[in-house]
Amino acid sequence: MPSDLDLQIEQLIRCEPISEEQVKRLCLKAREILIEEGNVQVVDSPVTICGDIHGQFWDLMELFKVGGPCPSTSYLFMGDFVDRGFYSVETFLLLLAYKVRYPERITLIRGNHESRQITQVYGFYDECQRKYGSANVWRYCCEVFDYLALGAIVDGTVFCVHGGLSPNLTGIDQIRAIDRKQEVPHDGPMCDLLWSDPDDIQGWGLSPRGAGFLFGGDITKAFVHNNALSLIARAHQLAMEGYKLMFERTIVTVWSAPNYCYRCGNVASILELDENLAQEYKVFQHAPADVRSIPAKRPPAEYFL
Amino acid sequence: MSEASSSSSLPTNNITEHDQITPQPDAEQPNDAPVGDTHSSSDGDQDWSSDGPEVDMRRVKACKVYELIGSRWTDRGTAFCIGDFDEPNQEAKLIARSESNHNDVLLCCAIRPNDVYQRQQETLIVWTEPDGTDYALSFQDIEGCSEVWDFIVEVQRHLNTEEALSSSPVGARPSITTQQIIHSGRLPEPQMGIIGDIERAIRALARTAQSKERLCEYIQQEEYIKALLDVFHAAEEVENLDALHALCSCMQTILLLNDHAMYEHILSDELWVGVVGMMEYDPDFPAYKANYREFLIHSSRFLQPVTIQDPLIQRKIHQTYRLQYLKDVILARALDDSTFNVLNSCIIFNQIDIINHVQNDDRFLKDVVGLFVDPDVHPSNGNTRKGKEKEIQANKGSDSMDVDKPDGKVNGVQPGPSTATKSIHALPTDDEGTARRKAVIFLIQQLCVMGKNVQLPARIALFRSLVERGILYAVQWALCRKERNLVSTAGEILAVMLDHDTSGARQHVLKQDMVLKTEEASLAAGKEVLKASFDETLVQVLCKMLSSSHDLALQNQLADALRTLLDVPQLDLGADQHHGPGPKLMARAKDDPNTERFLDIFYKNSVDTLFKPIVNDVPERKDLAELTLNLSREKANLYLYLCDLLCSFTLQHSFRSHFYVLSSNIAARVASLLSVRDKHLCLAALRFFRICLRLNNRNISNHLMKYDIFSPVLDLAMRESRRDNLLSSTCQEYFEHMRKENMKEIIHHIMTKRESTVRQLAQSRLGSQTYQGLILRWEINNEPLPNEEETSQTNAKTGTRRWGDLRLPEAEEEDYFNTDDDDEELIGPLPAGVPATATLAKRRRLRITPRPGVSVRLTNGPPPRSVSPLSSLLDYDEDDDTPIPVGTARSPGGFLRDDGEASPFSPVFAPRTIQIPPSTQEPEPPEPSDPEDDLLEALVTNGKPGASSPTTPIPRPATPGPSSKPTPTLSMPPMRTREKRRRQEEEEDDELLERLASKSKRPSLGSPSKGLGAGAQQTEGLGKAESAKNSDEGPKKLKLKLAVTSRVVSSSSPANSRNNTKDGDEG
Repeated sequence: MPSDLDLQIEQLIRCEPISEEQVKRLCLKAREILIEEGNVQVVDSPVTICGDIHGQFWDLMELFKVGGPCPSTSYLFMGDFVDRGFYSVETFLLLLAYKVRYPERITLIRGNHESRQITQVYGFYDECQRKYGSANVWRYCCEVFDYLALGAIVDGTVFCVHGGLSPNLTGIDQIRAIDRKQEVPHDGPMCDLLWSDPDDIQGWGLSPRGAGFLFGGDITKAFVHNNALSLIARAHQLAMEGYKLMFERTIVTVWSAPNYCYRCGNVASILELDENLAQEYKVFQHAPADVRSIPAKRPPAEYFL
Repeated sequence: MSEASSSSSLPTNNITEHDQITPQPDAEQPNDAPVGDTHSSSDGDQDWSSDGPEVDMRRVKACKVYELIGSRWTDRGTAFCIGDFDEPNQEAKLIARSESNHNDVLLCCAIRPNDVYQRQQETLIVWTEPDGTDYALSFQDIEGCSEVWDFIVEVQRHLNTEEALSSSPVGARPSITTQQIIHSGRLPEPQMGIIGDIERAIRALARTAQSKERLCEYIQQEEYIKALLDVFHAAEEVENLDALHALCSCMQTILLLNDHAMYEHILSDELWVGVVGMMEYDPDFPAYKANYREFLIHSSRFLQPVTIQDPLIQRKIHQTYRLQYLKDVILARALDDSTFNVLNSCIIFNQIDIINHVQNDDRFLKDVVGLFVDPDVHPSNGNTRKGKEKEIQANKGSDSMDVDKPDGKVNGVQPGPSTATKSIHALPTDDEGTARRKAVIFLIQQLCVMGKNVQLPARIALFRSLVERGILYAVQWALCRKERNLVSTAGEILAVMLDHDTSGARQHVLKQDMVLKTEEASLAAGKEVLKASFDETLVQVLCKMLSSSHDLALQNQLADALRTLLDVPQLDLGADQHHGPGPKLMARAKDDPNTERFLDIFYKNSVDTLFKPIVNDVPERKDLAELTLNLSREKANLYLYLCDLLCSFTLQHSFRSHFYVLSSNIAARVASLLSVRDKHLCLAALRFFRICLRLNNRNISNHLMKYDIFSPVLDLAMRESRRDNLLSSTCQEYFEHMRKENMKEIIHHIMTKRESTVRQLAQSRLGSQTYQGLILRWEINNEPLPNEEETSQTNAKTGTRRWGDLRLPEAEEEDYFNTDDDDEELIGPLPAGVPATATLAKRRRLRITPRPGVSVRLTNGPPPRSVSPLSSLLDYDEDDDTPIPVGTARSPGGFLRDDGEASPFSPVFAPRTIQIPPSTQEPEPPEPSDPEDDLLEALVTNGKPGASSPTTPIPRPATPGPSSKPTPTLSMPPMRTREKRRRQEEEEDDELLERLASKSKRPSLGSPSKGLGAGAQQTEGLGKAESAKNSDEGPKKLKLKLAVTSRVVSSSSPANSRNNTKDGDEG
């Protein structure tokens, strides 16, 4: 006899949104689980690390095909579940349902798009409004965003974060003292973790994104060294080949949204870390065109303007 | 789709975030290559330059071969390309051999007679093979490209003459070559069999900008789409699926031509539905048919609850709707970047026009707002209500509008208990009116959605003007309805308005407040008044709704709205989050008088309503029967939001909120929430106490100690100590802050009451260092001072300068706290005849002003004492009542400040202050600083007895009697009317004050407060004695000025001073 939650997962896997009431319950449950996680969640290998998904639900299904189903494979998603794609609602809710159902088998950390402000501009808000007729689901989800961990560390040596490093943080321990239960601020260490990018520069640079920083190889290597890391895994930037290693393999960008925005023509990848933390990058293509996957943002039937 | 994403740039519409979807500059982007400059790409350069000089000849025709796979140009390799004539087969071929291996043929295809080849940008040749494959050759040199191109042209010329000679009768095969179409200069009359050929021709023609332009013109001029539609209708009639699929594909090609005028053409009423119909038969999903027409014809409706008169705008509205449908539904899967951009910009330009029109359409806006409020109550163009009275007289007789009809009544409108209350406004009250209002609410929401889509300046202009026009009346109406979706929509509209024009919204509330007051006054005077269509302000409604709501989503919405509405911008809040309180923490970004007034009425009218659920329903901790509270989910959620709001208020609203916290005793109740089962609520409660700690406000700290708030926090820390979670993180951070800032009294309080718990925590797995540090602090603080005199001298000799420097920022900080600590005077009993104590902040200002003054004081002053910043805030001797057990090494007197200390520095304020006769010249003990404490620690660890101990007893100064203060010099600045009014309104505050005073038992306030008041008066350079009542008013009035001063000070303070302190501590 499958539980309600299992039924919801089944429904979500078909890309059918669950009811608003179910979303509410799911989010409350998720909050209980997430509050128990540290700012930097400790994760054990083997684990499969994934980058941005951005509401590309059918591509997420491809990801699970390549990486293995949850919970048999342990997953770590590095944020940016929502926005841009056409199925942010289903994507995030499915991941969240997995999180609630198998809290030990899936880790979700926060991306810069898991924010009230950004989701109002890049689609998640509108999608909720469109699919549920109100912003309530968006509000429930945003509440959950505030509780998401800011990073994760696999076996103490692979540090995973959505964006990158912060000039305000020299050690991972310092992240523990961040008050993460808040909207992503416009600056400061929490913002940087979610917004920064590695770049071929020395030291720190201004980010063209207007938030976070650019950080060079020297910074990356120093951070890796000081914290006894073997690798920093991050997402946040499109990598046409699905992933991109930089700075003598001290940092990798993992990108998991193939054919980003349904028109960028890139491939995606996931990073599998085995028991010995050996890295394997599995590249995958976007989901084949399918009548189910015809994206549509139907405008409201009644219009005034 | 002949062109894969050609542009690497984002849709550049309204995007404010710099979230790139484009790859980093160094990322390879092969799909760009065929249309971009391949050879500038790094690996291209490498390839070319690796050639030796002997291959120079071959290099001429060196090129890269690309194949379009999906929507992506795939690099097939670098090759040498030649045109070759295959004699035996009588075929001309293009052959590309790999650059690295000459035998490796990358490409070999016969040259086609039809015009599928295209030359672009001089070095690029693109074509489609008969099997549909798209190829591109990107040459390194123009010459190479020209040579191959000439070959193709030559061969084609040859082939075409041949074909012309031997041409078969046209009727034999219906298909037409692209070449023929191009030569004829016109597209053939569409027929079912040749749609595919037409499409190919269109694609071919679209390859160069010039021919594409001509093609687009042609299609529009010749009404070619209409002709296609005729074929479509026929095909649909006979259910010829092949033709339908071909038509769909052809139409899609036309749509993706990406021509602005073409969109306008297609969106016209005449063509639109037909074109949409054509798009329903997607050949990619042959088994399916979309239902676009059904939706557009039967489901979608254009509603006009309020008419927009301008036909041009009406047309744009329809057009925009169709464009969106095209972009988001019909073409969603097929869109490439450039089409996306063109469609998007069409939409946005239309939206800008619509928005501009709406916000300038006076009549429209009046009609909208007029549905919800009497236009006289909210004159949109600056008319006041004054002129209205006359109108009432004029209208009275004839008007028969009935306010008491339930429908359409705004919340809280009492069904006219007073006959004198009468609305003259013809608000429609029937069902029809209600339906219309509802529709208008959804209209406004769509306007908001549209507004959010345009650039920030236009957006702000729109929302400002909406708020100014009184759109919030509509929001208020809808919020009070029962329909859930209406309420939620209103909430979203409100959120948008608040996000863009908080101050406008505040002004709106102030206006409402004024209307209500006037009304009340008139009623009281027995006059007949017209009743406004509301009897509560928006903020009152929000508070009431939140405190009584059981709907999680609504709670969230309301709490967000209140937070934004009451958000007083902080200068640098973010940075302070992690570095403890600093000067900026309390600094107001702007002392906007409206904000102040708004806060006044909020704290007067609404705050109690808002927090009633906590204050009334949550027992104080001491009364908590069981260890934990059991709360329903809704309740827990409500408390969560209330705690969050309380946090934000406490942090931002300075004395108003502090006063509220102290007077309502809400803290003791929030403390009960620390032990609830819902951890998120525990966290919210803890966050409130963390804010309190950060405020470092003397009164609040005492209050918290009195109610022993620290115990439940420790219990919580204990419970969570084994887990690495959000709660333990926050607990740890809480105590770490206490340790860093060395909050002696609190540390002592904790250690006295709960030493064993702290010691237990110090043994725990996580964060043990924090608690060990705390214990160490306490031990150091308690270290008895061996010889006070000696230490002082030592310090004076050795460390003065350094400490002086370090002290400065602390002092400034302290002043900020003091500035905002004006509530102190509110708290104490104010014996009649005693001047206000409020002005102490002013006095404090003096101490810190210019550096010279300070340094003078420091060098002459006594040695720095290690006094916690907290304790140094103490402005009057109230320690007698604080529950600090004796036995601490600290002398209560050590915390005492007397006002006289200010005088040595008053000269620096020369222009604004009056020199006052120094009273008791007790030099001010310098503030402690963290580095100092570090030094202390170091000293202690080195086995030296505390060089300077916190316990330095400062001789208690003779009570600065009233005699020493220059009361006669008190002069109140001319009181502004607003303040006067406020004072009147605040009479109940005085009651509160008394209540509070008796609660907080601070009998000793009397005389020091007098002295403090004196200090302030001195600094203000006041010249006239005031009555007790007036002096009561002092604080409020001065406060405003003080805030200004404090900002001046803050700006002059060295920016890095705080960092020094911090570094010192951490280092």
